[in-house]
Amino acid sequence: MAEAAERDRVRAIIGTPLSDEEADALIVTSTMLSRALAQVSHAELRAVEPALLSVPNPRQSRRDPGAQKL
Amino acid sequence: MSELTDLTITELAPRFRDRTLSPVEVTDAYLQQIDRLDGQLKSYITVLGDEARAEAKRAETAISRGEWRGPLHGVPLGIKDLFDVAGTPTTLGSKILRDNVASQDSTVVERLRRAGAVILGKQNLHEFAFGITSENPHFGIVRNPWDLERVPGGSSGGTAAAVAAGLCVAGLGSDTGASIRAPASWCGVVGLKPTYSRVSRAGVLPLAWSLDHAGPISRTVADCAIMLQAIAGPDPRDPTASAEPVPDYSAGLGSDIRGLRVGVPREHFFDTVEPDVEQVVRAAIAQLADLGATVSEVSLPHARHAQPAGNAIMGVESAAWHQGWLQERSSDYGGDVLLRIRAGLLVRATEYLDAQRLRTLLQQDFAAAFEEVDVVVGPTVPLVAPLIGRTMEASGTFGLSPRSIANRLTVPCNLTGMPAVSVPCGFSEGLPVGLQIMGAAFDEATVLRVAAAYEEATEWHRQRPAVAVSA
Repeated sequence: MAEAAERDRVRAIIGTPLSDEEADALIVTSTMLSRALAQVSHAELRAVEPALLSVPNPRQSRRDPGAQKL
Repeated sequence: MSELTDLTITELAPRFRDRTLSPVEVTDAYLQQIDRLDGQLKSYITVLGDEARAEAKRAETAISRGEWRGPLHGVPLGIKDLFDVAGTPTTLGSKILRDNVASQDSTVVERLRRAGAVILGKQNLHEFAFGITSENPHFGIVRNPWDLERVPGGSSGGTAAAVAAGLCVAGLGSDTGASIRAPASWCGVVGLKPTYSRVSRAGVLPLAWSLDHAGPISRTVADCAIMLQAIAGPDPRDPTASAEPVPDYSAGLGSDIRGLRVGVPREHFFDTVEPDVEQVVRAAIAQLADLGATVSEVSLPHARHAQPAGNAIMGVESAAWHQGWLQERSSDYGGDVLLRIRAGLLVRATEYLDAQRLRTLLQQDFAAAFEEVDVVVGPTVPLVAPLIGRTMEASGTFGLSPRSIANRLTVPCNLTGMPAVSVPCGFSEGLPVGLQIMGAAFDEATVLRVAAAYEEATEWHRQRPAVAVSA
């Protein structure tokens, strides 16, 4: 069960009334996702730029080296 | 399945062309099959019976005048209910969009019509395409034709179930994390997620813009190639649609795969996979080696992070699209979908950007792998279709819920945009298992060639669920 303050923080972000049960479910889901993302090595993440194009660039996973910079 | 509803696109096309079979006759057979079975399966939201008969009649008339348009002319297809079909509601499987009547066809539907296809109706899906089960609270729970107590997968569950049970020849689905390939795997049919931007998304309601892909679900690889041929290519209505030339996807089918290099991931793709499923997939990979492919291991070290990265991006993008409704119509959502979309509002900006950086790392992994191999293979889903109502419960060898693991092997290709197909490769507990074949960007031709070679050497794609056969 989450702390009341944590539930209130979630309610403020969601912007609609939430039961304690709904807030707890969101906290559990969000915490699990945060923990999973935190498993990625920070050094490795720091070495690359985010895919900030509005679409992924599938050519980056293509075997033609000449196409990788497109 | 009646004899008519058992025929594939490649079997129907020459018979329509030489007029030994009529599109009207076949369309009627499908509508009867829908009438007989869909009360149970719930694979359709809207059946367009009168319109389909009229389209079939027009196709018959045109063909009789010698105006055959190609292999889809007169072929009855199903459309997942997130593609716009002019004059019919695009519900996205939701209560909120129940009356959202489209004024114009989506580009893909327009292209299928131009190829002469007959649209049978709009197919059921997981609400808002945001889920793996297709247990839809508004339009009914879609049932798996192989076991009516099990889910068909999702979110394109209605389309995969309908294809498997003979309620359409083939269909159009969409895939944001698994939604073409997982239901194809669980229903024992073929499902292709093409390269990102290969197929236009104009007139397709989104789940997550940067991960959404439209693609075909069919009974055979050859049918999949025909469907892709009709829908691929640039589109002025979709600025993200690629201008990359569209090759002949059927041309390489039937050629052997001797010397072709097949990579088997060292990491992730066989972790947390049910032992029976792994055994079936390993046997399929051995079959590829028997066909002359060179099989070797490849390293994809960041694949294990793909699922949280995909879920973070999907959550954020879907929350952005749903914003107004989340405030005003939250009671109109199913509980699981509302939780998932709201969770997207809680993803921190730094986490979202880390997920995008992980996407870059994953693309680098696959780029390195494709220096060594032509395709990468593995299971499509780590387990077979779970029971309806039990998908949140911990189960199986690893004590994990089906929902929590179902997209972990498919979402890497949504993040990288690479093409991937699921092809039937056997059974576990009497339920279908899929082999996933992943290829380099815009190399659908090789992916389909490998899938076709495997299919040609096996009989799995000829198996039909009892519910369809006994109808």
